[in-house]
Amino acid sequence: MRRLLLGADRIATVLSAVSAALATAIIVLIFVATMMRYLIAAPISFTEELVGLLFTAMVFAGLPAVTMRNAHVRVTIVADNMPRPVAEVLERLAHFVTLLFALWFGWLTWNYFDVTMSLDARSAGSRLILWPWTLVMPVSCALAAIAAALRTVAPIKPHHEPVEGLV
Amino acid sequence: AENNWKMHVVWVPAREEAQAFTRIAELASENSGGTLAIQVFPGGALGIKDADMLRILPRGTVIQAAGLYPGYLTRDKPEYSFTMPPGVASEPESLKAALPELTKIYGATYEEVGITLLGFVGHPVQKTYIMCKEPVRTLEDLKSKKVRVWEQFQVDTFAKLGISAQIIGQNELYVAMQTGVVDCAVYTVGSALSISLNEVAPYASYLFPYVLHPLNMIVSTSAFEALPEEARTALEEAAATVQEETFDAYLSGKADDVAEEKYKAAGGTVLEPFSAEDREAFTAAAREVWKAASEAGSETAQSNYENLSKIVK
Amino acid sequence: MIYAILAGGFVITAVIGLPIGIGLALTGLAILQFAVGGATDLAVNAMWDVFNNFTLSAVPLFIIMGEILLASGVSSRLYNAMSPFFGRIPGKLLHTNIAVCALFGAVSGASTSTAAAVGSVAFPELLKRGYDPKIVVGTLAAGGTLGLLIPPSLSLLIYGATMQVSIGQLFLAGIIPGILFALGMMALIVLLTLTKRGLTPDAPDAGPGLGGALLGLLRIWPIGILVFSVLGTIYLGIATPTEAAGLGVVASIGLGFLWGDLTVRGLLKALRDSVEVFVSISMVILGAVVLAQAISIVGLPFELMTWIKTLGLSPTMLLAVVAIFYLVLGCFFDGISLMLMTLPIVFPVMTSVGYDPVWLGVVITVLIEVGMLTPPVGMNLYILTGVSGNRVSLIEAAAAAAPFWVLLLLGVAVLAAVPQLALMLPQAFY
Ligand code: NA
Ligand code: NA
Repeated sequence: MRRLLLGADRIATVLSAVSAALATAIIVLIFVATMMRYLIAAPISFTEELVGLLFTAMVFAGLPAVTMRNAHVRVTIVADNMPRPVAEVLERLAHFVTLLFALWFGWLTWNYFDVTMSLDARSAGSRLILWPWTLVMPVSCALAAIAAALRTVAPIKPHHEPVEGLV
Repeated sequence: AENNWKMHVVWVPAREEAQAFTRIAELASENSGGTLAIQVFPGGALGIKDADMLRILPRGTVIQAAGLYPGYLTRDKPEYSFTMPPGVASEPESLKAALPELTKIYGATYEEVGITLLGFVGHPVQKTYIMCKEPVRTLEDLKSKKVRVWEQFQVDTFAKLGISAQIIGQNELYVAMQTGVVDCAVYTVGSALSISLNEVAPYASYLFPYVLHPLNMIVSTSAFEALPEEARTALEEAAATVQEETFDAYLSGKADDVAEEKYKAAGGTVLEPFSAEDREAFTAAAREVWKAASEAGSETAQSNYENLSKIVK
Repeated sequence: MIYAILAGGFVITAVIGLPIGIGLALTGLAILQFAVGGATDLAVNAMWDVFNNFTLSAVPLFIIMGEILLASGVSSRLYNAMSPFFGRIPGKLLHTNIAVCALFGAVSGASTSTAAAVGSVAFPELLKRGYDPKIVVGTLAAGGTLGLLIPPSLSLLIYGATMQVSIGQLFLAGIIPGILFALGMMALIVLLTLTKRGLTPDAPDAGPGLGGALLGLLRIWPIGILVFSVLGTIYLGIATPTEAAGLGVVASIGLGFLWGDLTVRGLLKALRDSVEVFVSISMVILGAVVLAQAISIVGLPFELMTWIKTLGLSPTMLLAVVAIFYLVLGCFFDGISLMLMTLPIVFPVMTSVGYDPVWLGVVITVLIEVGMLTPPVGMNLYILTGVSGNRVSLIEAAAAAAPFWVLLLLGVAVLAAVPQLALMLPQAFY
């Protein structure tokens, strides 16, 4: 179990890095596009649409890691006032419901990908191909489902630790 | 009524587009002999987007009808970006002439997913202007300006004329114009008034007719077929009536005159139109882009172009 | 049925401590599944449309900018230079939260960007200096709302564009109420810190005197470059607010390396941490979007307001009912989608009983700001909970912001009593 969790954590780290790389791409793209427009009056027409797609990919790439590391925004007022065994059951239940959500939403985003693919949908303005971007969603949901499943059965850690490095 | 329908319309109630679709709903409900009641949700009050209409409407359980600008479907129907692109026509009459051909084009899309096209609604205005902070009425002067457009097709058209254009959304346009991100915008005077563009772009000059996809009155085929005969007829007749009314209004150009007067009253100046040579050059550039884009597109895109380019003048 | 699902969803989310975004999303999905006949695919449509919106990308960029400034020690120098000026005023540096938010609000159109940009810089700095984390989050969440009222304002733009009201007049109308709200918030900070001890650090800052303080300000001149790249570029028309956020990140990296103590390692860590924070915030946005779609597709807000219209109330009563309507719905919707859903009916109802359209725009903006501070769906609360690294929980953040939303509501009453506060400037210029 321990090794499994360690492995999963390593994958989560990689996915976090992917998410951060996508954020970097957004910054670079916006910066270059602004400069191009202002300095040489040559705006990059696809900036807004590509930034939107990168944004969606960034969020979904980060989802499994946030689930694995228990970094979601939550209200734990009830669990905090319960005896430890009850609180533990509640926490496992929360991870289990998260698993159900990841499966349900993953299924829905898979269908969305499927429709996008079959319509050969393109972004409205600059005709960017959309299906690879929509594929990110079900893949990410599947990974998040695995993370939530691991969390459901893994030993409980106190989850009130602040996200590292923020404070 | 036996059948309670929901109709989605993206325009807010103050817009004539919304009023036209509301009229269809009211006429149909009145003449259905109490078998049909359509409630219109204007301003996108149902929280759904036009771009998703091919995916939402067909099942007929969520909403049953919609008023739609097909240009919003370009994500799912890429060829719609150059089915009736802006600037390729020099006569507003072209739009009416193209209706039979457009019925075939849209009909094919809708049939595939389970939507029925009941009719068209004409645009409220027929003129597109260049609206600027400074007086501009030649393509030459536009070359030194940053121009806001609403779609990629126009970026390409202006590029052909050596003019740098960029797409800026409706909601950002006012501030972009105020702060100088752009100097000019391609817009209709009527819509410009509604987003207070007259305050930041007080000079308008006519460039090309507003010949774009006509608005579509569409219904879910399954919901439509489940209606009693009486209701179906009432709905079809209502759509036909409003189609005729709105196209007459569009072709008369009266709304443009009214909008121009309002614009002037709000402190705007309507300049002389762009010269005939400039307008021809613009149309020619747009038609070149149209041809090239269509030929690079799918087979459907090519055949649409071949049929429409003969009709659209 | 819908109400049962809503109640059940919220209770389960709170009791088992489900991630809020997932709780909201599941509630929305359940409504779509059971009350709208299996239309759960609408959830993905709605989410895709919102996430692919260019404007939303400003929020993570501002969080990244704040994190980089923190990692490079630049924000620390900024607060060191500012603190002598506030040492003797009750509330101390908490006032800078409001003042900087107001300043930022003067260039940013959105409440969430304002909260993200100021919050990610201010929260860690003030915490380090011994301020109570809850009051810091409360003031930041409240200060963030100024972004919507002080022009440019996304909500006034959308209000003007959809209801055909002069955007220039609306912007002018927002200025005086915006400044008054900022002053009111500062007064409230004085009041709160005087009545409750321990909110601000006890030790009086040993002041270097006015001369020393001004000299300290001079020493942080490079921060002017950053201020220019974010605020100046918008004013000069070089960049839109989202682009300014991108420029701000690049400027903060440059500043961090050249003037601060930024290392490549620190930069990468800042980037990874802030993205992780934003992802957790995004999941809440996702849930809020799904729930909003579910409630709006059944036509609930629209029908509720249509019903209110039939009651035939007096103008004052109508305003009170509309305020309550926005307060209740503001719990479940984020501001802009709430406006889009309700304006087509609220606007004609209110203007037909004689309310001025420009004044109404300001009042609705304030009501929407209140919604940003009320749980379970309160965008500013989420962003700051995220920025605090869950150190301040959503409930605590909401409680800390409560005095400020009371202030905003009082503000609506004052605006109703003295409409000239909003209308003075537009009438003078038009
Ligand atoms: Na603002
Ligand atoms: Na709220």
